[in-house]
Amino acid sequence: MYKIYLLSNATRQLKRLQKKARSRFDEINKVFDQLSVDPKTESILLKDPILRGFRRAKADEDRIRFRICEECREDQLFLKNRKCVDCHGMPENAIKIFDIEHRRSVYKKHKIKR
Amino acid sequence: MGRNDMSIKTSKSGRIFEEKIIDRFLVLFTIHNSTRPIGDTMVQKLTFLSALDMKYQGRKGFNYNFIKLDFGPYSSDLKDDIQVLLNNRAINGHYRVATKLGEYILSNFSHIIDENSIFFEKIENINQQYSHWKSKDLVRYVHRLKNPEHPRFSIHNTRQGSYILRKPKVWRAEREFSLSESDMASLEIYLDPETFHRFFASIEEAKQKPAVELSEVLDSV
Repeated sequence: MYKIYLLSNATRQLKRLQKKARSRFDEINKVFDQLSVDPKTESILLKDPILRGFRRAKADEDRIRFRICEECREDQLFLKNRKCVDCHGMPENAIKIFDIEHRRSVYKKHKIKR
Repeated sequence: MGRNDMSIKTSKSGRIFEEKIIDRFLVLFTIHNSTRPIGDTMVQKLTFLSALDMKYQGRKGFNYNFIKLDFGPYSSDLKDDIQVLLNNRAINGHYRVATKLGEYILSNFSHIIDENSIFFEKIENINQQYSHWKSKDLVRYVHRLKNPEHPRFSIHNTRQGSYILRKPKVWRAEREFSLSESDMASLEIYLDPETFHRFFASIEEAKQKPAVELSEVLDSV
């Protein structure tokens, strides 16, 4: 079994959903349950060099982006460039959730930045 | 004035998420492949000409609706996508050029270009033919074309706000642009500003703040 850890961005999102969008929250929890059993088959591995090692799982309307700590430790380049502050304390069977994103947010109109 | 000119239409085509990502990738390619830096009017016209050719050949590449405005075919979805690429810093300048990030996206996903070469060849041909033209000459040229939605009328004779080209239907297309799930998962980060900034902020955050176990998060609510 894998243990799931969340960064503050993902934590905020999850807490918000727990209060305001219960069905989405339940969906995400279901996916967390699946990920804790078999994160590799329940997700897609990103292959792009910058994003390599990250995985994405879908929870109905939401996307969950994460890394598996054991995979990360095998990836020396990632460790060198982007080592997490809590890396030493993390068990091998940990999954770190970086982002939970509502798919519909991409439909929002993008404002001009000056 | 023709019978096709009943009311001002919206050029929003109701694209699904995957179609948006494909469109942004194709627009980025169009800008990068142009023979010179081009303004938004040129991007609109070149995209229209590529989309038109693709539609005639039964290919579903671009997913824009174009309506007629003063300067010819115009799509507000395309305008939004240009803004998205600017916000994401994949393109820059008043006359648009691909940035290093834009070039990185195109080179790292070059297999998408290979797998969908018929779409990109079409854009290359259109760019080669027209992107060195002056904007006003291209506007004039496009005005003289027949309105693909109502071939009895030229675009010039089409009423302002009427449809000129609609998003291709899936069931009519002989060939669709294809994108793997893995590529989509990466491109949705690169080609959506909000996702891009939040995701990379999370990566930075991981270097500074420890993560919290799920059970603790749930208990704290």
